[in-house]
Parts: sequence; C-alpha cells; structure tokens
Amino acid sequence: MIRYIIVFMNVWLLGVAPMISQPGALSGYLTDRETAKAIRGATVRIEGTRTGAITDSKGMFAIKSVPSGNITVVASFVGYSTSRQNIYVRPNEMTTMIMTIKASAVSKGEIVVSANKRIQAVQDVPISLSVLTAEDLDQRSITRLDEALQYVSGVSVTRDQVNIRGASGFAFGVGSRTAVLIDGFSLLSGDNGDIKFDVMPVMDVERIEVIKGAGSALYGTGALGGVVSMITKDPTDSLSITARAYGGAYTMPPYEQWKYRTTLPSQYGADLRVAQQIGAFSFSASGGIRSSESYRSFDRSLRGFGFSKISWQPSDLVTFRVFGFAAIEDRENFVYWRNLNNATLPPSTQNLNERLATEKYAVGTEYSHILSGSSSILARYGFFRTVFENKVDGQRSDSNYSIAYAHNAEGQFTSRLTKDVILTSGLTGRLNWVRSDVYGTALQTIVSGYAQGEFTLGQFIVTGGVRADREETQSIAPQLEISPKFGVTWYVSNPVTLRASVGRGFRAPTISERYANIRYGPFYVQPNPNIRSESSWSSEIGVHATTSAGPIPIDVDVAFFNNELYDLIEPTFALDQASVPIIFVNLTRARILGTEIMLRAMIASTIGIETGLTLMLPRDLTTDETLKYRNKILWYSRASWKPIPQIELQAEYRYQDRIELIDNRLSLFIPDADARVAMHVVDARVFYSPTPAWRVGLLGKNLLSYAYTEIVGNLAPTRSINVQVEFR
Amino acid sequence: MPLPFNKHSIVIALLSCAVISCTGLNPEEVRPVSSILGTVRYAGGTSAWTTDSIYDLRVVAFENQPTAPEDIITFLAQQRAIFTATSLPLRVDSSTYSMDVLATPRIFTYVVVAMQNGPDFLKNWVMLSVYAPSGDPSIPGQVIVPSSGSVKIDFVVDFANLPPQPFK
Repeated sequence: MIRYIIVFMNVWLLGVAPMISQPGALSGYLTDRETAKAIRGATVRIEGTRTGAITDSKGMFAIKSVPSGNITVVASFVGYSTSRQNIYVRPNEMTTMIMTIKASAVSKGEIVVSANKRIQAVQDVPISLSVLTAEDLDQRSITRLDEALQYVSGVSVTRDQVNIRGASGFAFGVGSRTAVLIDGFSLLSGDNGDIKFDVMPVMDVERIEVIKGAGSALYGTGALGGVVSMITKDPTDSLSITARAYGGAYTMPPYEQWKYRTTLPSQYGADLRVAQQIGAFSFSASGGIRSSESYRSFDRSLRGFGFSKISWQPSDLVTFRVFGFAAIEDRENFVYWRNLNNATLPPSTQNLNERLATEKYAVGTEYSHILSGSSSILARYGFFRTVFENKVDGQRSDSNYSIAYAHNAEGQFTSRLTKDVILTSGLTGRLNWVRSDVYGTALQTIVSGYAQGEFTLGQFIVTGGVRADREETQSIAPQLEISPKFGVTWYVSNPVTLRASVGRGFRAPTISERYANIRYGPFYVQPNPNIRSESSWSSEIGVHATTSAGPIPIDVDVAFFNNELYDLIEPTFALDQASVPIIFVNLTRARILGTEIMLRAMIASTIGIETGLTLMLPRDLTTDETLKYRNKILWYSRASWKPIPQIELQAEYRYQDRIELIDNRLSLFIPDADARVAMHVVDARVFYSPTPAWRVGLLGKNLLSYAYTEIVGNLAPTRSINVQVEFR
Repeated sequence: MPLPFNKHSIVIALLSCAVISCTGLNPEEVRPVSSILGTVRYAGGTSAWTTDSIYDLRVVAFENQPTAPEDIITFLAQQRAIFTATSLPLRVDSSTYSMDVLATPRIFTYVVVAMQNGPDFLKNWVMLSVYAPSGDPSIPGQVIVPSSGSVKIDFVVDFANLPPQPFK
C-alpha cells in the first residue's frame, strides 16, 4: 500500500507543479488604528496558506514568498479585532503595505491554528477546538502544561491522562486516548503510549490547541478522543529574556488524621528562557527546576528540564529547524493511600526506600521548503527516548525497568491548487522499540498516508480527508485502519459560524498493553498480544457567535456531540484461565452524548468573565450501565479584574460531578477505593506589575482546601500558596 | 425519560459549597460501608513466628470454602471472596485488620487468616486460623455481614497447631 501512496504522491507533485505560479514578496508595517503606535509580536499571515510572519519591535513584517495576484492579508493580535486587507502582489517583486488594527475589549485576537496541518483561523475549523495562548498560560502562571489543560472546557486531567469529552477513563497510566504533539512531533512514549507532561517547555509555548473529538484522519493512532497540539514560540529580532521563580508551601490539611508532618511541605521552582533572531539564524533556550515536598508523605519529587530550538533560513524559501529537550526526575512513588483515614500515607507495606527515576529526551529536525507562494513541502524526523526504573537504596529493584524509543518521521505536501481549493497530504512512519524486564523486547511499526482537501464554496468551507495506518507489532498479523473525516463550516453572517463534522479515531494497542508481564498488588498482569485497536466515531454540530448584550460584548460557542466508542481496551480478569490473570482486552462498546457551552464576556472595561459547561451521558452499551470513571458534568468559570493597570485579580472555579461508577474490584487491594466526591476547586491569584518588565504574584490553589480524589485511592492536592517573581 | 442530571444540581452544588463551606472527603464521617474487622493475635508472641519465608499474610473471607489453591484467586477475581487490602504486619504479637464488604447483606462460610509461604501466589497458601465459633476449627463458622454494619471477628494464630487445611 505504501508503494501506491508514494507513486500517488509523485504523480500528484508532477501534476501540481505546472499549476504553480511565480511568487512575489510582501513587507509591511502594522499599527494601532487609534494611536498609530507600532504593534509588536502580532501575527500577519496570508489567508489560505502556511505563510506568515510575526511583527518585529518596530511593527515591521516581511514575508518572502507569497502567491502572486490578489491575496488576503490577515493581521491579528491579543486585544485587537482581526484585520483583513486585500492586496495585489506582482510576481518576482516586493510589495509593500501598511495595515492597521483596532483595539477590542473582548477579542483575544484572531486565533490561528494548525489543527488541519496548515495555518488557518480557528473559526474555519469544522470541529470544536479550544486554544490556550501564551498569554493564557502567562496569566495563570502555569508551571506544568497539564495544569493548563484543566482550564479547558470539556477536558479533565487525572495524573497524566487527558480526558477529552469523556473518551478516557482510568487506565493505570497506559494508552493515552489523546494524541499529544509538540511542533508536530508525537510526545507519546514508545512503551506505555502515555503522555510525558513534565518534559514540555512551559515558557516556550506559543499556543496549545485542543481538538475535541476523533482526529485520526490527520493524526493517526492515539487521536481517539482528541488531540493536544503545542506550538512553540519563534524568536523575534530583539533579545528576549524571561525569568521566573516561585516558592511556597502546602498548608496543613483540613483533618488531623492527614497531617503527616509538623512543618509545612514546601515547593519551589525556577525557569529561564532566552531567545533571539540574528539574521538567518534564530535560537531559543529554556530550562527549569521543580521541587516539591508534597502534601502527602512519600511523594517528594525533584525535576529538571531543558529545551532548545535553533532555526536556520539559508534562503527565502528554505528553513531548517532542530529542537531538543530533556528531563530527569527523581521521585518517591506514592501509588495509592493507606486508607481514607490515612489518606496522606502510603500503605504500611510500602518500602520507603523505593524511588522512581525517569529520564526523557528527544531530538527533532524539520525541513520546510516553499515551492512557490501556494505550495510547500515539509519533512520531519525525531525520536523520543524514555527510561523509567524503580530503585531501592540507589540500586535498581527487580522487574520494573523499561527503556523505549519512539521514532517519528513525516513528509507533508500542501498546495493551494486554486483560490478555493487547498490540498494537504503526507506520509508518516512511527517505530516504537522497547527493552524492558516488564514488557520484554518488542518492536512496533505504524506507517501511514493521508490526504485532505478543503474547498471554499461561497460561505461554506468543506473539508474531507482520509488516512490509512498499517500497524504491525512483532509477529502479530498487521492491522489496517482507515480513518475518514468530513466537515463543513458555514459563515452564516459576519459574527455567526455554524460547523458540523464527523470523523473516525483509533488507537493501536501499546506494547505495554500487549506484553505487560508484571505483578500488580496480589494479581498478575499477563500478556495478551491479540488485542486489536480501539476506535471511535465522533460527530458534532456547533455554532460560534460574537454578539453583545447591551454594552457587554459576548463571545459564545455551543456544540452538541456524540462519541461512539468501539472495542475499548481495558484491563480485566481472565476468568476463563486457570490462574485468573489480569489481561488487557477489547471489552467495551460505549456511547457518549453531550453538549458544551462556552461563553466569554467583558462586563466592564476592566472585568472579564469566562465559563464553559459540558454535560455528558456516558453509557457502557456492553453492560447497559453508566460508563466507568466518567463525569457527567464538567464546569469551569473564570473572572479577572484590573482595578488599576498595575494590579490584576483572578479567580477560577472548577466543578466535576461525582463519578458514578468505578470498578469495585479495585477494593480488593485499595482500601476505601470507593471514597469519592464531586470536585469543587477554587484557584485565585493577585498580580502586581510595578513596571512592564517585572511582575510579582501571590497564587493560591485549591483555596477551599477541598478534599477529593483525582483517581482511586489518591487524594488530590490540598491548598497551596506560592509567591512568584517574574522578569520579562 | 427522566433527565440524567438533576436540573438544579449545579446551582445547588455551588450554593451549598459556598454556604456550608464544603470540604469534600471527610475521614471522620461514618461511611455507609459494611466491614469485617477485628484483631489477629499470635499465640506465643513474636518468638512463635515461623522462620519460613512469608510472602503475604491476609484475612480472607470466602463465600464458599476453596477446595484447591487456585480457587483463591478465582474466587477473588469473581468477587466471591474478599481479603484485607494489604498484607498484615509480620512478626508482631497482634495486629488489627479491617476490610470493606460490598454488595451487602452477604454470607461468608469460610473466614480465615491465610499466609503465602512460597513464591507461587496460586499455590503456596496455608491457613493459620479459621473463624470457628464452635471452637472446633474443622467446623468453620458462617458470617453474615449486614448492610451498613460491621462484624467483629478476632483470630488467634497458633503456629504449632494449625487448623485443618482445605487442600494439600
């Protein structure tokens, strides 16, 4: 099949080449429409292409290869309404323009996304998509990216599992049903297929895109419930230095029984980022440390991480990028509590000399070449290495060591065939190699080809695509997955957009699910190489509108969705086998119906509110009962107030209803496993900025010190207070 | 069809949280969970403990008496037996135990203190003490666990005089 795809691609490239016109170039100057001041750091892009630029410190931008003829230039920036301007670009000439944009109280700026593997406005995408910008992360003083995802409507995060609209449950830390990428590279580990949030460079993130619903038509395995895609910042021509340090403590827990020490457990961390563009080169480097004594005994951790990205643009049309990151962590291994009465203590049988040591590093390269203003190619390769091992008294303990490599390669071709037709296609390959005393030595390969077309038909944008993935592990018969998608966006009027989409997702079994051979508590987990991929069909309709209620500008989005889940892989007892082991099997057929409402408004010039409510009906169709480990209500609300320009107050509230059903067999080895309540979490922050470069913050998390469980037998973090100092 | 959500649940949740300053999980609250609990005493104290390898030690309640070692894990997996969530302390004079019982009321016909004395979890089990209110360990007693109630059972383990074993 791959041979056919390659032939198809070659034919396509040859066929498309004659249609490519001679490109031109564009430069310009972006200013505030009222004050005429230069706008720095704004996004300027050519609509319908991957091409764009960021304005420099003088508001200038230059795009060296743009389609000749009539084009639309789009400028956007936080706090300004998006501005569009048509202009004629002559072939082989530099065209110069002046653009202005107008300040807007409710606007976060036009959000551009790459959910369809090319840059476009978020409203053009026919599927629900939330975006967290660098400003959003900055405002919340995010220190780990999974914290950021907790503030996205329809998303809940339990440990390292991201649950988008109920697609994921409790999975013993293996097999993420959300694909996670950084600059297009997969960040799922090669053995467990889990997410490694601690390696992600918080200060380098330009934006995080959360695609809600199956996304395998473009992203392949793992995108069963959705996709989290992180895009890192590109340096500008002025030197950028950002430093941040914080320190604080967990307050004493609300009950005497839970006080495991007499002093407050401390936590601290620091980050530094340096970035600049110098001629054809640009670089950014960042790093940080995190230390926590934790609100629980036997849960201390120390972590260090670093990230670097170097870009080289040897010509106007070619860009090379190399990035790398590394993280090491040494932590105590709190698995579950002793019991509810001793919720901050591990089981009495826990060896307190045991540590969990992890190492992760990755290297990625990217080559992009603009063939003309209307077509481009992109090639990527990278690998992600993860190691974990249990140590007792500094020595490796038995039967818990794994080293895994995940190699990823991708070639992509994007072309604007006509003014109204854009084609995106590509080939990808993934190779997971694992050596472990838990999983043995195993090799898994996934090769794929995808193609997608976007057609603009008047007020409609129609998107259709398909992807084929061939997965093979060891000697197991290869599996072929075909994942189509279809979507329509309808610009009903200027502020109102309707969308509808349907798409398929799948997740190939991870090596750990197929080959795990480990004792878990009193039970044995045994291999089951014969499990198949789990899959989903997501469909939704939604409406987005910007309107006003009197003088109050309002941004509102409503979606109705349905996720059909097939052959979900879950651990269960094999009652038909003599030793009754736990094995992973394709067990569950489920359906999740739901609706999601998001609203954002500026109720006064200095007061903003934001809220998102997700209601779901998660149903296990195999057992005809509620799907285990799923919430029915997720609610997130936020308010911010700037009484004076130097001071900002923020408050956030998150609510999740009590999970109705868990696997009560967990009670066999986790005391008080059924102890769970609804979640009410209030976070609040106060920031003071004496100058534009300095900011001091007082940050409180879980201010009510509300006690709840994140996962079975695990008390969630209690109240913590931190002081933070930041320099930009 | 009744609504899956209480239509006022969100408002009520928020208001109640704000008004009564809800704190969530409470270790002190009486949870409507049935349990079997009690004390295990070791005759002869710490010096009486066997020098054999001990891999695990638990109180186990069976709905039906096992007839083969493999029955233990089978019954546990089928939820026809329950055991203490973690191993009991070793080489002590006595220790307390407690285990939650779900799906009550429920009847257990064979409640024991069981020790794993070899590496094979499926086979290497020996019963150290059997709940036998008649005083005759060859006649195990029946335990009825009511809804929202606890049953107290104390055991005495005499390593020199083990009860009849249900299997060789």
